[in-house]
Amino acid sequence: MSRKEVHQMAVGTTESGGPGPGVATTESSVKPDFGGAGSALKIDAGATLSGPRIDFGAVKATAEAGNRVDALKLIASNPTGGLENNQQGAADTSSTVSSPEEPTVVQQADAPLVEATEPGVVGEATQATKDAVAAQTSQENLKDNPFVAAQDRADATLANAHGTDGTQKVEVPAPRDPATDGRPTAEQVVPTQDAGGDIAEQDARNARKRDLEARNPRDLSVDEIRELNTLRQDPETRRNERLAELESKWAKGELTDPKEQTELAQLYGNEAENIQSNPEDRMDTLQRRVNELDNDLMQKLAEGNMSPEDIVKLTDEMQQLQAEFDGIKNGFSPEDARSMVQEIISKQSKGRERKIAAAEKVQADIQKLMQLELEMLKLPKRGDQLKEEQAKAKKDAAAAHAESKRHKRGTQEHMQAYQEELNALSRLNNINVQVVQLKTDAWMLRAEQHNIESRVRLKTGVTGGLSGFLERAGGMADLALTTIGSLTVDTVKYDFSAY
Amino acid sequence: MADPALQQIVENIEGDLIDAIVKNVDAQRMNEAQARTLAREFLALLPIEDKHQLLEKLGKFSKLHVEAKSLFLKYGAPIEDEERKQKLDLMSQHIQNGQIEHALNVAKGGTSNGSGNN
Repeated sequence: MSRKEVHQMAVGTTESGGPGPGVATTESSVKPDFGGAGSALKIDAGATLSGPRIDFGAVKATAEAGNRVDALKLIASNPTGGLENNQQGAADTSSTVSSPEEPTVVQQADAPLVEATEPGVVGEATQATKDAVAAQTSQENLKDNPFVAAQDRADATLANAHGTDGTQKVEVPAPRDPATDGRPTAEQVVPTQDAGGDIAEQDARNARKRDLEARNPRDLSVDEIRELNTLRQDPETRRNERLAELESKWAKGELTDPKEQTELAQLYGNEAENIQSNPEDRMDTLQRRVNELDNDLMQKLAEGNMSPEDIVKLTDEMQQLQAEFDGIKNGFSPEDARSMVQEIISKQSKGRERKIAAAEKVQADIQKLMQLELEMLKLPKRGDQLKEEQAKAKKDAAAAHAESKRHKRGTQEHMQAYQEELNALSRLNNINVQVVQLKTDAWMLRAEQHNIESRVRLKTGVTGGLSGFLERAGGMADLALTTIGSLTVDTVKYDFSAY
Repeated sequence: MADPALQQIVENIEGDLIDAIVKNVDAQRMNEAQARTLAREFLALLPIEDKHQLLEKLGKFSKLHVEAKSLFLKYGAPIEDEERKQKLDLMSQHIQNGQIEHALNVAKGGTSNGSGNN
C-alpha cells in the first residue's frame, strides 16, 4: 500500500470536526472489549458521538497478531467521518516532516538523553584477569607452583642442616599433601617455637627504639635513622614490606638463603591464617578494600597529589584484589584465589619500570582530560548567551522593520529605520557565525577528549573509580554537546517591499 | 526499509505506541480524537528508510505529542549515541592522523544550519 493510500485511509475527521474535548460517549451500555484486559473505556454521560467508537479490542487483537500498522490504521480511521480535509491533514502532517534546513540532531531541551553512567564499572582488565585466573587453575599449574618448589627446597635444606652445625632442630614438614596441592598450612611452615620468642623479640625492638629515640637525632647515623623509622612502623607494615622484599627476591630467583626461605614460608603461613576462609566474607573485605583504594586514587588524582609510582602501586593493588575477588566469585576458595594472584604478581613484577613510565603519561592525560571537561562545561552557558543575543537581534530587526513601514519612503525617519534594521540583521548574522563556531568547537573538544580517554583506558586497563571518572567525564561532555547541538542558526527573511 | 534491525525497531515503536494509546484512552488521559490524530500522524511518518531518518522523524513527532516523548527517549537515545560515537571515532582518527581540516569538516557536517525563521 502506498503512502498516499495510507493517508487516504487513515485520515478521519479533523479535530475541529471531531468529538469535543470530553471523551466520546454513547448512551448505550455497550462497552468495548479489550480482549480480556479486564478494563473498559469509562463512559461519560452527556458527551456526544460523531462516529463509531474505536474498537480497542480489535486493535489489540490485530497488534498481538503482529499487524501493528493495521492496528494503528484501525485507531486512525473513522469510516463514517469520510475523507474530510484530507489534503489539509496531509499538508499539516507534511509540515511537520523535516525540512532540509532543520538541524540534523534533534533534541528536547528538557529531556537530556545522555546520562552519565554510574561509577564502579569494571574495566576490561577484569575479564583479562578473570581469564588469567581461570587459566591458572589446572592441576599442572598448581603442581608447578614456584612457591611449592621453594618450599620443597627449604624443607630439604632444613632436613640436611638438622643437628649437624648446631642449628636448631626443626620438624621436617610432612610430604606435600595433594589435597592442599603443596600449599603450606601454618602448621607445616611455622617452625616449632615457644610463644615467648615473639614477645622477647618485640621487647628487644622496643628497647632499641627507646634507645635511638633518647639520643639526639643529629648524632644518629643514616643507618640508625633508617632503623628507627623501621622500628616505628606498625607490625603489619613491617611484615608487608618484608614480604614484598622477599617476594621480589624470589621472583628474581635470588632467594637462596634457607633462613629467608623459611621466613617467606612463615609469612605466607601467617598470611594463610589471616585470610578469611568464608568466601562471602572474603569477597566483602576485598570489595571494601577495592572501593577504598578507588576513592583514594580519585581523591589524589583530583588534588594532583599523586606520583606515577603511586598510580602504578594503587592500580596494581586494585587489580590484584579484583582478580582475587573474581577468583572467589568463580568458585575458588579464598586461599586458592590468593595463591593464584600471587603467581600472577610475580610474573608482573618485572614490568614495573615500564609501568611507571606509562603512568607518567597517564597522569598528564588525566590532567588534560580534566581541563577539557571544564572547557566543555563552559560551552552551554556560552550557547545560552548566544541564544539570548539572537532573540534580541531578531526582535530589534522586526521592530525596525515595522517602524520603517510607518513612514513614507525617502523620509529621514524611513531611512533611519532602514539603517537600524540593517544593523540588527548584521548583528544577527555575526551571532549565527558564532553559533556555528561554537558547535564546531564543541565537537572538536569532545573528539580530543575521546582520544585521550581511549589512550588512558588502553594504558591502564581501568577498573573501578578511574573507569567511573572517565565515564562521568564523557557523559558530562556528551550532555554539553547535546545542549549545544540544539542551538540553531536563526535567519530573518528580508522583506524589500518596505523600501 | 532494507535493514531488518531497523524494521524491528520500527515495529517495536509501533507496538509501544499502540500500548500507550490504549492505556491513555483507558485512563481518560486522551480522548479518541486525540488517539486518531496521534495514530494518523505516526502513520504519515512511514516508511522510514534509515536510522537517521528515524531519529529526525521521531524527534519531531515527540515534540508535537507528549505521549511520544518516552518513545523518543527509549528508541532515539541509543541511535543518537551511536551516531555521536561514530562521528567522534571518525574525528578522532583524523586528529590522530593530523588531518585537523578533515576533523573540522566532520564536525561542521554535524552542525548544519537551523531552520529559517520568517
